[in-house]
Amino acid sequence: MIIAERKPIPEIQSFVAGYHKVLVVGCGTCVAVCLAGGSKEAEILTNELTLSPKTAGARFESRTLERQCDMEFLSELDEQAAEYDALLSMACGAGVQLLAERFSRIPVFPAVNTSCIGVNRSVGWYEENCRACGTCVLALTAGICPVTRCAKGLFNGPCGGTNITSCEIHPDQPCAWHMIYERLAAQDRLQQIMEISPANDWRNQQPRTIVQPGYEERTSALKEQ
Amino acid sequence: MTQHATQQTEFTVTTKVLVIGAGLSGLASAEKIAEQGYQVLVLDQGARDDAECCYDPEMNTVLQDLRNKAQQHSSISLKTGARLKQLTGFSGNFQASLELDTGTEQLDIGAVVLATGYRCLPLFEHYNLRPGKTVLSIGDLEKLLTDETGKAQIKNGSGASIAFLSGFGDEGNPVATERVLKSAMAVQELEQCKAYVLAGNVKVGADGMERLFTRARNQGVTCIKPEGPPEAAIRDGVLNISFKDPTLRQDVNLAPDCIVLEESIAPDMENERLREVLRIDADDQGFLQTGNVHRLPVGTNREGIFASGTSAAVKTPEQAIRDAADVALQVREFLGNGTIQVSGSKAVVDEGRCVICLTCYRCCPHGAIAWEAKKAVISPIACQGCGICAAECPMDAIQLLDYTDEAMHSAIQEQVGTAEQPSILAFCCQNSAFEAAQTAHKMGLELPDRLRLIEVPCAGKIDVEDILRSFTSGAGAVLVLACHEGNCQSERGSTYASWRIREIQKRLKALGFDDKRLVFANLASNMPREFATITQDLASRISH
Ligand code: SF4
Ligand code: SF4
Ligand code: SF4
Ligand code: SF4
Repeated sequence: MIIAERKPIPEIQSFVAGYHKVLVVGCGTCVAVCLAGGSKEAEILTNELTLSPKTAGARFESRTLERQCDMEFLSELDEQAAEYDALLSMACGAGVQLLAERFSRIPVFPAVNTSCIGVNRSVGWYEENCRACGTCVLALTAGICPVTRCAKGLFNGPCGGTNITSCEIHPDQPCAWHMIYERLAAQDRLQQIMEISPANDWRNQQPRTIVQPGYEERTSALKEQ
Repeated sequence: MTQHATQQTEFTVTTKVLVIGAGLSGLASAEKIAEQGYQVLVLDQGARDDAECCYDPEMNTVLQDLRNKAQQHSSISLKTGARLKQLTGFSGNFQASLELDTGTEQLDIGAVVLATGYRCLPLFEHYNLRPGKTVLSIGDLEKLLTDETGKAQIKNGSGASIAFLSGFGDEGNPVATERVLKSAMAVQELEQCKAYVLAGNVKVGADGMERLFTRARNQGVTCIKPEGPPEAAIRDGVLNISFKDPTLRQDVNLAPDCIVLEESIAPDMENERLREVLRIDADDQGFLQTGNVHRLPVGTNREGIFASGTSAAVKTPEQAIRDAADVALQVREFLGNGTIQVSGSKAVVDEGRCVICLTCYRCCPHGAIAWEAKKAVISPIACQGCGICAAECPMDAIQLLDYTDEAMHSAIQEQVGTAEQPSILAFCCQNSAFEAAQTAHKMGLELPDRLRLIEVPCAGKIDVEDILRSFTSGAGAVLVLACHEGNCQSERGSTYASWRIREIQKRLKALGFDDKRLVFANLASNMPREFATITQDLASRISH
């Protein structure tokens, strides 16, 4: 799931300074689950902005949509959006962009920093687990992502800097490749650590458009319209 | 707040009870529960025969007796080599998954009784001694005392002096004291034998313990409380204990024939796993009950799950057996005849808003929440109405019937006062601060004119929006008054409240808003004077 963190209030205030009527738009999916931008957080931010002497005089209201990364859900705002002179999105960067595209005449600002793809450890506690490298190697690494959890993002390891359980960069930084070694050994498939994963083609980080197999024709038909 | 007329709803529950642990308290509880007409299944997970009662040979007879009775009872079924693997469903209607010798078995049960035992850990290392023929743990000695061969070994022909060391390695408890005294008396009874008890922390805080202590001394057991821990060593094969005697005011050397060392008592190995499977709280040692004063003697934080005997705390065998009556009573109260009435203000999920983030499931202190069909579901039987889930839900998808967001909102609006006379809005937990406030009023203590109270079921119900909204609506100051930690009826409600308030104070500060206008305090119901002081202080502070 996408994990985000609320931006510091002074930064948010600097975005909305000078606007008179602002709608805080929550997103009811990823950012709701990671407690950064659901309806509760949207309302909290609305109240904070209302309370702040710096933004005194302006009006803040909130509304939370199902997902901001789907046009269909954004269309629910079509009529209401025109009443505001700025939108403050609490969705991840993807949601903010689609919102900004849908309401391109109104300034749209982000209220959260999109941090990572991660897992929920407990209430309010998340860990990054994937950087969307596009060439998943988890099959060879016992289900532990070396790109994310190895401090150097090595596809093959461990490197000479391992202090067995920790990484040379910091005693608190666990060595991901040591964890991979341990788990492979425990599953009796340690020989897999010898298989060399080719370097990732990081050029794939250019804007990616994903079309699922079987949907190519549908996509091109839509594009032609 | 709008109090709904107390509505009663009827629910059907399963009248089968699962008892975990086939030791003294487990079997005694099973018998008493079966007497009430319920079906009981006893698993010998955790406590088996010896853990609870090895030190008292008499108790082995009691245990054997209980076991025979359980085997003969038509409503009790005893499973050996069985453990509880998983528990799902809700209080009153749990689904238990059992691991048996013969495979797994699914079972519907209404209530669970925990009756695990404890482990005795010898403390040789603490005394720098190695176990041997002349250095025993109390458990070793107890075993020797059970038969004539063992006793002969203790006597060692012409008679022996035995020194017991206790209460130096472990904090001590009545059970440890009882074990030492009983063994010392048994040794003293042996022909030509002499028992010395060197004790640090003697705990006599259990029934009959003081009497036992006097009896031991009258019988000739020498009891000494040395100043500081004694030093025990073996020199050239000879035992020596040196210590400072507070009565003689000098160093004394004792050369006994045998040293008997204390054992510390640790929770059953199964406790940790059971606590996870059952989602219940444990104390800091791992016993399955916290010291919460609001809990019934055998209650846990979950409705329908009870902790009996040594699963809950270190108890003497007599105490462990006595819990059975309490357990049976509680089970009866809970399951009744299979149809139970539930009333009171409960939390309800708005399915349309729930995004199944699991926050409520993880926060509910009473294990009242699970999920079904991709939505959170709250059991009205298990819900205690604290409102913690409602305050934490990131989608405002939970409403507590008597304290809906809307009701809180209008209560705030009504109480915030005017621009000239902004209120001091005090959110008071009904279990503590609200009562303190009432008493303060009755006692005629001076309270600020501008003080307005909003009663909440638990401080954990007050959410961030309530507080911010109080300020945006014009309140002059906000007080959040919670129970003392460890004394909160909803276990963590007061802790959650304190965390939230600290976070809001930080946020207010970042906004350039006077964060001193938000105050958090812990208060008990018998603290009306403190209530008055806190409110007066705040009033004088914000008037400047
Ligand atoms: S906009 Fe972002 S946060 Fe919201 S649902 Fe889509 S991906 Fe998740
Ligand atoms: S290798 Fe790591 S970063 Fe790449 S897709 Fe797999 S989990 Fe994500
Ligand atoms: S906290 Fe709210 S959104 Fe999350 S699972 Fe519970 S009811 Fe659903
Ligand atoms: S109100 Fe309290 S007890 Fe009831 S479900 Fe919510 S958190 Fe649990």
